[in-house]
Amino acid sequence: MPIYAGVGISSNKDYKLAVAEAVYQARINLKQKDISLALVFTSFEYAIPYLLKAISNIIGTGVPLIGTTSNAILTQDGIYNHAVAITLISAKEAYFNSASVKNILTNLQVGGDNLGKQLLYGMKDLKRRLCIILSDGLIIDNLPLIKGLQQRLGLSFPIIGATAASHNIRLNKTYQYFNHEISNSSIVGLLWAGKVNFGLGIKHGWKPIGKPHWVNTSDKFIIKEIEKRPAVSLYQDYFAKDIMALKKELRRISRLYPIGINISGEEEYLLRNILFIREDGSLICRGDVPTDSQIRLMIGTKESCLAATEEAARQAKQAIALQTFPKQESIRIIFVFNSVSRLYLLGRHITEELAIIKSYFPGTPIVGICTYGEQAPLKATDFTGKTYCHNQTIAILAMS
Amino acid sequence: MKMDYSQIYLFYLLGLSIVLIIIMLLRNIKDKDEQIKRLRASISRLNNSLDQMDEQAKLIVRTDLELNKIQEELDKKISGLYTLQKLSRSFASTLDKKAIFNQIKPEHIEELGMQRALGFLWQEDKKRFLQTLAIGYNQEELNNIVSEITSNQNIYLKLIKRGKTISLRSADPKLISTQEIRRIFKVRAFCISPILPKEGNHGFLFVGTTSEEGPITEGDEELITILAHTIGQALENADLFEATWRAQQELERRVEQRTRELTRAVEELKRVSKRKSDFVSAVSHELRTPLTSIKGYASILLSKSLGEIPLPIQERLKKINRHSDELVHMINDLLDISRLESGRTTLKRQPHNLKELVDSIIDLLSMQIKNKSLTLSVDIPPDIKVLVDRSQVERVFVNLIGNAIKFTPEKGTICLRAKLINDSVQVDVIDTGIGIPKEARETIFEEFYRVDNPINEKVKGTGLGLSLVKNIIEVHRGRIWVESQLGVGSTFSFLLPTASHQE
Repeated sequence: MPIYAGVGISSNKDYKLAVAEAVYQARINLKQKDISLALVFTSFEYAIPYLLKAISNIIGTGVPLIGTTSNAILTQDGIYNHAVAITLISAKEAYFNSASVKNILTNLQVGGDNLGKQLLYGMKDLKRRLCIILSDGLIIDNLPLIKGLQQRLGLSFPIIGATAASHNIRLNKTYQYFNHEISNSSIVGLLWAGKVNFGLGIKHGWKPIGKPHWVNTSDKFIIKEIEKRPAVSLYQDYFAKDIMALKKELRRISRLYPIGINISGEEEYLLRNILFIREDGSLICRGDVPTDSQIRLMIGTKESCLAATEEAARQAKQAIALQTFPKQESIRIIFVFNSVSRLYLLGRHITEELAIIKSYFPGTPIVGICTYGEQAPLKATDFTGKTYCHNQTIAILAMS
Repeated sequence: MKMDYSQIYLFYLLGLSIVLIIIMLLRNIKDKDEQIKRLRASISRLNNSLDQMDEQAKLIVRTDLELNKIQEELDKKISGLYTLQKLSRSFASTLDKKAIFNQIKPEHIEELGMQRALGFLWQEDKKRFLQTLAIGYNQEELNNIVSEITSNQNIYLKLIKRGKTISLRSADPKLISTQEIRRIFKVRAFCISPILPKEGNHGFLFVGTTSEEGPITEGDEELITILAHTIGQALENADLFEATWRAQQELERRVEQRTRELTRAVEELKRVSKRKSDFVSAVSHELRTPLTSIKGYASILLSKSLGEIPLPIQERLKKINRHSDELVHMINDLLDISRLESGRTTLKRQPHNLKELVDSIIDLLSMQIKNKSLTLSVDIPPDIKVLVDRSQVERVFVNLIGNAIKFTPEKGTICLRAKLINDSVQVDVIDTGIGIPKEARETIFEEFYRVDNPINEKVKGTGLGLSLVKNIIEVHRGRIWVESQLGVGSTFSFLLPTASHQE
């Protein structure tokens, strides 16, 4: 078996006790195997340097550690707004490397390239299998970062990432953990090689509504004109609201009715949340929107959202089953990167989503965070070398 | 160059073909044109349909947005009500005013869609607000807020007096500046609801959000109002409990104090009573010896064994003798009472037929009854047996029937009757005598008490009879009481144990 994993969580207000409790649970779930790696997901209030020291003191100072803060953390036990979740991984037969790059906001592509360079250290001669990245919620468009990373790492394997959601929706600030360091405006990554199997499922559940529209002018993540009119007119037409009213309700409208970009040859649309409406009527999106894209307004319901979760879980399970066929190795850990918009739409039904995931992976440890954006290929299988920046999706990564 | 006919014919055919081709082409063009027109019409229709669909889509998303808002508000309310229910249960589990606010945790405030909360209660004696709850603030922020509230406490007192919840959406700008509230409390939106227990300190609950997620709604206001109201009720309950508890403590303290005083008084009474009994017993014993001598000498003198005595002296000696007898009788009664009170008397309890016992007493007193022409009736069932010391109970009947005879005018009636009540027999001695005044009915059983009436003025008595009777009945675990009407008569009733009681 290449990897083993154990997840522990605690909501104890005393960080030391929370760490002790979470590590204790994770160790039990790991069945006392040697710890090769720790993944730490916490809520904002635990983001203090002593936290990482406390973890290292228990699991060993030499154990690599990566993680991030998020406004919600989910495990097999539930969804928490205030908690420390520690995932301990034992990977005797798999290879991995962890790395971090700070202050990446100035040049995301260079940041991605730097991360790739560090991740490749000692891994050049190994067959790379998977890269997991966790980035700051301040990053609006992860595409340059992915480009930089892929330039260095190559296109032969998928990159799966999460842009953590902040506790403060205005500041969007999150913290990233790397070994003993806490930083923001940074990215942490994990490159896996060797005998590691994984399956990915990524879906959103939003459906197109209304007629298609064409983006005439756009600049990276800014849609300037749609059908030769200011981009905001799309929302003005659909919701019969002026700019001021739209701005006031933008967060709700954007989450419930994002823009869907039609990807040629693909059934699923790539979603984009609108973050701001500029004075000139252009729309700032979380993620790139190419010029000449065909876009649609999208609509989602709780049911379609939950159906997408089920489909993502099914895809992840099927993908890993194909990889391990005919051996059918046990799935050891499930990582979930779940969009904050889904939490918003599902409201108190969010536990149903977790129940669906658990029903597909009974008894498997689950850990995840709430995200602003998700980075992954479009499909679970037939990886074409392209990693997309998603919004509103649930990305389920099963590893064995 | 001349053309032959065949060439002309060929040209003709060629020309005709060209014309025909042109005609066909023209017709084809016309057909295509029509086709294009039809296609254009179809495209136009499709575009119209698409536009119509788009219009429908617009209607759908607008309706969906409104439905989502309603759903969101409903979800918020349900979640809020769950939280309020939890808090309400927590409040019910404590009656300590300080602990009530401690039950509100950050997660409860988050479940209400807020991040910050403060509670203040007005202290009338100190004329300032006491901070009772703080969630989501650090100490420095808290100090600043308390300082701001203290310097503008009249505004907050007015808010409390107004008795209505205010929020960013409903605040009256004349009363309060929402900008100012947002600045002081460092929130983007807020709700302030008065805490109004019926009694005790009034105050207010502040909750606010730093998030840009959705504005404060009417539903939020309702939930915060319910929470403030629940806190008010909990404070009220705590106050009531405290008041009740204090009253109970005071009552218990008083009862304890009174019990102590009573115990002391009873002990003192017992001590005094014992001293009195001892004194009476000692004095009686001391008196009996010389009295025996006096009576003995008087008898010797009266027997004339020491010689003749003049008649006047004889009369005086007889008086000495009679008074000595009365004194002996009194001393014996006193000694008996003393013995009974101190428990020194050993009762020889045996079953006795009540009727026979009473008859023997009547025999003894028949002469006195006859002398006053009294009618005596006895209504005592013949089979009642009492478990008593006969000699003592005989004294009860002698005293009670004797008194009846004494206080009943001539030709009056005396009735003796008995009836069984559970393990006791109630005996009533009824007379048609002069009666006992109301104020004397309790005291007649006290030693040396004599009712102030003409008969007592004439007839001598010790005032010990009824006291002795009461003591005898009580040592038999019985009880005596009297009912009387002046000029009509009296009924002395007492309880004695029946013989079946022993069985």
